[in-house]
Amino acid sequence: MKTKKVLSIVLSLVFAFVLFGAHMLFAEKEEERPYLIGVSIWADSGPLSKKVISNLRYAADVLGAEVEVAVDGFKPDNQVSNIENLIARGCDAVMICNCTDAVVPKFVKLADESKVPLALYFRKINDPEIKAYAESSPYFIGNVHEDEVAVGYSLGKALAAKGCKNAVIINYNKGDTTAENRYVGYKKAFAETGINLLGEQWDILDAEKAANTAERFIAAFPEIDAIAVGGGGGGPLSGTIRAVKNHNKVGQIHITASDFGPDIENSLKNQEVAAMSGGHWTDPFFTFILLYNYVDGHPLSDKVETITMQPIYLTSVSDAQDYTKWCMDEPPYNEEEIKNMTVKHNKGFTLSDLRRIAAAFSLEDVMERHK
Amino acid sequence: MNKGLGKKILTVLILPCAVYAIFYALQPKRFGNLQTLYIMFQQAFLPSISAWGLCFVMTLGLYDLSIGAIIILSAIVGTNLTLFIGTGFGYIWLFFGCLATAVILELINATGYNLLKIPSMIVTIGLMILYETAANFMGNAVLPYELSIFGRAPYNIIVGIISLIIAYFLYNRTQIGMQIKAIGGSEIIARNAGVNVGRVKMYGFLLCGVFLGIASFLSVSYGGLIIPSTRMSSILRLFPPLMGYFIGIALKKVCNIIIGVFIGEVVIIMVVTGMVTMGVPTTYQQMITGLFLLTVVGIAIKAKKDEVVK
Repeated sequence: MKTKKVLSIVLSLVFAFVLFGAHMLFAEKEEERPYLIGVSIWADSGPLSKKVISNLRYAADVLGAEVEVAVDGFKPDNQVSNIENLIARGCDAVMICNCTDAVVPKFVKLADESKVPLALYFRKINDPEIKAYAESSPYFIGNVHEDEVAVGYSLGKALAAKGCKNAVIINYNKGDTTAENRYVGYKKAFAETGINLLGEQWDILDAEKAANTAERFIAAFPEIDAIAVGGGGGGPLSGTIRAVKNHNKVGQIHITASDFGPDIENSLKNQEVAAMSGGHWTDPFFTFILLYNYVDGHPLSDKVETITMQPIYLTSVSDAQDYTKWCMDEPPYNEEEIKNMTVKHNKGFTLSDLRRIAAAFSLEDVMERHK
Repeated sequence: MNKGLGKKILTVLILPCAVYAIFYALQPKRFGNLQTLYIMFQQAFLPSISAWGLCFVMTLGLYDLSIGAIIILSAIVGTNLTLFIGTGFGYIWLFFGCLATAVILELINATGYNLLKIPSMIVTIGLMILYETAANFMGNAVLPYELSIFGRAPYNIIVGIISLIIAYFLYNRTQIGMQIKAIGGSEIIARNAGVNVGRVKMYGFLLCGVFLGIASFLSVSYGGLIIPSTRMSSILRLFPPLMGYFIGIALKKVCNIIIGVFIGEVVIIMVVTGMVTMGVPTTYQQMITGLFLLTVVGIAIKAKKDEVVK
């Protein structure tokens, strides 16, 4: 009996020591641990998502921070659970490419409840009510996005420049802000240049489905001379190119696409693609910089901020070669440049500077800085 | 005899002809041309091959929800193997890489099912997640255009027809095919008749693997790029073959299920193509396809029930 009592006391002491001692030890370490930024992304295997992740990890390494990536498959419920999990994991800030505006209030609520800053990448909020709600939150930092209407518009104009008259659009998720905005841009360009929009198909996210759809369009509309691929991370472009090649229509059917495919240089060289926009994987990097400065105690603004940038447009083989050399083989911003985007390393850095850097991003900009 | 056969053929053709007639009437210029028909015929083979594989598993009363993940992983392994070894005998490496991977993965499915003794649906969901993860570790697979001859006509049609013949033969003219059907009819009776149920189920999964291997070979040849799926999204690849399978079941009374599956896929592709040519919005396309499937299967089942009552 006495032994049991002694054992109980010893065990209690051990538990108490483990609990409090561990807490003290970890608490000390917590102060030293690097900032952890949570990133929810649609996938981690496609050409675009892989580049986004590698670029964020590189920037985090340079700044001594860490990135925690969670894949959401672009599904609203997965996105919400990812934000919950990333916050629970102890992330100091979270960023996400929301699949639709409707899911944003839920993220904002989670961020408010847990007092963790939140920012969006690749997305603007179209819905004015949701935008107002998000902007009322003290923990919603802002968003970075491209002018997607301008992207669709420019690529639509590129089709017109090729002399196209009859086009179809193959796009990814209906309801996705980016996809919808690119669609609006294309339609605007088509209306201005007299291109007939013969058909459109949505929810195309992989090469096989894109090839199927392109073939159906080619068969049903013999007059077709343009296919606009709205995006989807490179897979739909690849499938569309294969379909056009299989039907010996290269040069007769011009393709434009957002999100570069796997073989940019050859696609342009063989005239399989008329024009492409991409390289916008730097967009999440700017969201990361916004969040890093915030968690580091140097918020770049006390308001919700939106940063707009332009993607890179490629229309020739030399463009593609330069893009590969200057943007793919080496990061578009080197260590010094990344450090200079943080107040920690560059006391005079401001939001205007970040806006200027983001707005200036282009192939020429990268080449000029690194040549 | 011949009259009966002729009547059956006519009955089987009613469905595709009716669908064709409807869309032709609505869009004579767009839908009716020969090229559209030829493309629909070609496109029907890819989901049909997966559906023929499914026939061997589903006839046994089992489910395989991992077929999408298996197709993706097999295509990635096959492509990487081809690029690693060299493009000398590229098609052979690609074909056998896809085939071997799919068969091995189905062997894992069968082993998991036999060992764990839990419903096949649960086992294959669990394994689907593992296959998706494995595919993610391997990354994208890009097949050079020079190696994708089997993604276009007439080569894809040749592979499709050979697969049809093999599936028909295996399902209808072999002992294993008969045993699969016997177990599907009643597992207890089959067991009492001396059929080794565990072994036959294993073969059912392996045969499914053979067809999934062929499907993955054609899939990567066709699209040129396979991107791994995450968060169980590979399950979406299950539905086109499954829809064909259901129509195949519905047509079972008038034609062999292997033929019925192909007709089912042709009809589904016809419906989708018809809607694309008419400019029906994507959301409505999905709704109409779902309603169409329910109608066809519903009518077939009702006809069967009425017959039993008579």
